[in-house]
Amino acid sequence: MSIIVKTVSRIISPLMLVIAAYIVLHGQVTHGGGFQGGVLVACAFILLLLAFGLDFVEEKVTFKFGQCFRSLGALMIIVVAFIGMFFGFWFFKNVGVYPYGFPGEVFSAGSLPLYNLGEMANVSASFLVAFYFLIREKRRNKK
Amino acid sequence: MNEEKILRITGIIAIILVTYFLILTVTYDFPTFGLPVQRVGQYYIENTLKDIGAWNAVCAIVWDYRGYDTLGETLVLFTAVIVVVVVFKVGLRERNEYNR
Amino acid sequence: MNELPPNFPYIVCVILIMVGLYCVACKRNLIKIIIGLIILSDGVNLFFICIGYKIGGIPPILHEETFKHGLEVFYALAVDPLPQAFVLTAIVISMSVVAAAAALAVRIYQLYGTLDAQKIRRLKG
Repeated sequence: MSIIVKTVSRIISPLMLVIAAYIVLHGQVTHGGGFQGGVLVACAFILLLLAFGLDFVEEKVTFKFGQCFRSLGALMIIVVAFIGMFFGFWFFKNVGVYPYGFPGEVFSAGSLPLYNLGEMANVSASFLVAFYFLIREKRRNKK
Repeated sequence: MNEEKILRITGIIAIILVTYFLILTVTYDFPTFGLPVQRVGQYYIENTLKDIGAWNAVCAIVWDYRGYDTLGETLVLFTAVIVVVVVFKVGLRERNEYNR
Repeated sequence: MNELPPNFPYIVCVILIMVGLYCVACKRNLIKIIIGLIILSDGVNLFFICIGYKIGGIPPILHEETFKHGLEVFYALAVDPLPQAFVLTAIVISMSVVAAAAALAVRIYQLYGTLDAQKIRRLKG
């Protein structure tokens, strides 16, 4: 890619990560949440991939790291869902609503911020790993 | 005209007829745009601040009131990425032929 | 054209759904069929969101300015949040299906060298 594309993508990609962090953490206060922030994180890395090539990005976010991050995100959702059962409530109960925060701040609404973080990890790593496989070139079978 | 052309023209005419009848149904038989008929949505708007303490009603619905649907959708996303990874793995016979 | 026809957003949704259905049913290239799938799901999601609209509607999200006017005005004017939650899930699921379909299309091209749906039926291994 030309030098204009490389310079601009190098400036914009960290800004996208900062905005994605804002959208994920303020999911219970304003528009946004887990999915939207996760897709934005994946797009920040895909912009770097399109400008600099697959090898440059794959040695920073390897395939194994992507799989581990994705599994940890899904595991966090299940663990937070089981916490309610240890206190005598049902599965998926929202624990800690009022004693732990006031509405309108980041630390509010019970276990909703934890769900948003888990979903962000799941969605961003999923789309990055799938994109690695779709964009790789392979020689056709020698027949 | 051969068989293929007859089939294509029949398909296009069928789709145009279905579109015409659907537009007539939508204009005259559907409720007016802008007057909603749901009552569950009204309950969710009024009681989110009292039950959950969140200002965003959509996030509260997705993770608290209808949490099981989101759990199923997370599972579908997980499975789709496993499908993408498995389709591109080289099988054992192909790897033996490639190495020979 | 001073007046739009009644229920105009629903007519746009019907047109999108029909265009997507035409691409899925009558086209031969695999990539065009996948694009038709995307257009079809976009039309359906748009129809879902258009169901819960109120005239003069505001988003169903509180912030400091809505507290000044009072909560009754907010309850009367806020748009239905339930179809939006459904559409959020439906968009992610349709994106997963398109990713799996694109992976299969790439693999078919690597193995057979063609993307024509009529020719793939008759090839073996």
